[in-house]
Amino acid sequence: MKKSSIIFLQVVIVFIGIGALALMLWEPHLEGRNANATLFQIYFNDPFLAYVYTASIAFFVALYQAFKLLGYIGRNKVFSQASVKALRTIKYCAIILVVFIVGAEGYINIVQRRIEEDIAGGVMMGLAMMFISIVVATAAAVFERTLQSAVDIKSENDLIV
Amino acid sequence: MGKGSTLILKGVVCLFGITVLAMCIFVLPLGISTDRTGYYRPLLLGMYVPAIPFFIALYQSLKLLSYIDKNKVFSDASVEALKYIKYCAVTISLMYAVGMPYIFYVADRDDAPGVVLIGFIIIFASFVIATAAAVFQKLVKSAVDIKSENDLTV
Repeated sequence: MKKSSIIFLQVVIVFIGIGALALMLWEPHLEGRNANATLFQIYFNDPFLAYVYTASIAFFVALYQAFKLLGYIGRNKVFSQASVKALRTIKYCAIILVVFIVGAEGYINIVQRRIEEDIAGGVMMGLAMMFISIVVATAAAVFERTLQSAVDIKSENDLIV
Repeated sequence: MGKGSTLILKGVVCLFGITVLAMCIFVLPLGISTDRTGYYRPLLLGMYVPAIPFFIALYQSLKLLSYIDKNKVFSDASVEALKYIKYCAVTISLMYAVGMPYIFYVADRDDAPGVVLIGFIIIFASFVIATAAAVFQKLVKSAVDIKSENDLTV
């Protein structure tokens, strides 16, 4: 396996992680109501922000698992139970993210709607993230099963030899 | 293999295809036919060219998903499909890279740096897809080798 393509993909994953983290930490500063707030008020006074940060744990776990999976590929150990497990974790993380986003959409639609009138942007972004997460979960499920069958073939092979 | 999950992925691929096709048929001509788009017009015309490898890649991914359905994913046919996806992604990336100087020029005239950003995102995304397809191709190839070894032994 060529190392350079694996390393490239790993770098992409790290960049996505750093980008997401930076965006999440920086975004609250742009909110209009935080214009005069102190740093403490910005980060610790908003339950919704805490909710989003909690949900993001699943995202970062999934990124870490993808990074690990690429490492297995690089070391020619991809046809192993460990990589099947990594894919399963990615699948669960994506499903957890979907559940969290459904909760956030519910909050925006029921509670936030009475306070603010313009919720379209938030709803739309949530729907887009939900769509991506569902696609990732499905793809991970398909890969997991495919990889499992490859592992089975390989172990059968090893038994014969 | 559960058919449901591959069916969802097939639906997503079709959705992408229909969206881009609709853009090609309805949105791009709209922009090309008005005078207001000015410098953007060659750019909008040029966007039809990378659409061709894009549709080929989508078709190949549909084929790959049907191989998974039929439990035939560890075959030379799917290695071939992944190879096509890789080439298509590289082609899209190169096409936009070639067009980048003109995109720079337009963005400069129009004072719209967002256009350059979109160009870079497209180049980058297709490059990532090309690399991922290359990795998958090698993985499937090695699985095919293991499998054929197996079949020979048995």
